[in-house]
Amino acid sequence: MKHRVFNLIELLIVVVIIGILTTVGMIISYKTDKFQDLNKKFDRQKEYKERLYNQG
Amino acid sequence: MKDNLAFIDRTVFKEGNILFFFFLIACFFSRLDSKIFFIDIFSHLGFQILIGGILLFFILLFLKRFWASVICIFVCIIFATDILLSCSHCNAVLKDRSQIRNKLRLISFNISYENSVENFNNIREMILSEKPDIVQFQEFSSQMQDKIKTLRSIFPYSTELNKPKNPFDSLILSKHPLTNTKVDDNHVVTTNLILNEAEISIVGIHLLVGGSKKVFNDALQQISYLKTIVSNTNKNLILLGDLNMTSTSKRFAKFLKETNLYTYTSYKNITSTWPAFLPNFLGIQIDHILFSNNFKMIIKKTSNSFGSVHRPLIVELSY
Repeated sequence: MKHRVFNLIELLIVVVIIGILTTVGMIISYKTDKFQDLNKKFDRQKEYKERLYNQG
Repeated sequence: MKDNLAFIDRTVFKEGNILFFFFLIACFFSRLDSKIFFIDIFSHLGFQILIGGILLFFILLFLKRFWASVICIFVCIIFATDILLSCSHCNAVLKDRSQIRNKLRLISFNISYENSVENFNNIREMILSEKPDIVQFQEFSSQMQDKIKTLRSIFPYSTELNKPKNPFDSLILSKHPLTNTKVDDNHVVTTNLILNEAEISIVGIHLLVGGSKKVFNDALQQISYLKTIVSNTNKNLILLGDLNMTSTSKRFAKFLKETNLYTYTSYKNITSTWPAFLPNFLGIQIDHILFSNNFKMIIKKTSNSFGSVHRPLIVELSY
């Protein structure tokens, strides 16, 4: 019984480590996507401003 | 069938073996220069895996697993040796102070996009006390950029300070003249620093970090673009920014070798820059200042994070 409890703790440690790495990866991915959306928005704004500038 | 199950039970589920096998897999993944994002993460955590291996050695000793603990410490030694030997360009330090000729002090700081502008006063105080020649900012909001503009009296030269920036762009401020500034689509800013009538090429970069396959491939593309920029420069060069790589990574060591750039890494005086909420010894250094072989590092340290998830990296170079 003691042996199985130890196995469970070991498995839990491995799952927690993989879980942390996956979560960090997902958060970074989400942030990068958000920043890239901001990039696109920023580029569109820049184009719009340039168009306005050229018009008048 | 029963025999096979009994064998698996004896080998895999023997006390300490799950952690031991996980440690071996992590060591193996860590020493690969993999194009798979999840495996690539392990390569940046070499120091943490080593600490884990040493802890596991004591756990196995406690469990009276003599041979497993011997193999564990043996793997730790080979692993540490491989990390230390793989980065041949990570030892450019000047220990003999009498050899210092000219000094150049730089700060690279990823402010974090969500950082409150209220923290800028403390950032400003830090910059004033450190007296750098060059400061590089990354991931700043437009409100933070307005605050950065107030540093103009101390740093009269900059890379397009008044132009709006994308979140991954770099902004470089300097006390010395900057010429031929170019900001391009790969979040790379290149400029020439005029110092004592000599020109030094400065490259600021924020490498993407791959949370998905696409972004990871974009980061690899940025790296090959950087290699082209460095190989096309015949001047002394300093490359600084958030590289999202650590010095234990094979990718980082390969990048230094291919670009012939140098840095200094100490595992005694750890200067981790991310994540700032963890103690220094548990974090990793993903912000770097790399330089060509005419420079040597005199000082490398970090400061408080001032609301960012990164700590600023402060480096003094002799040239």
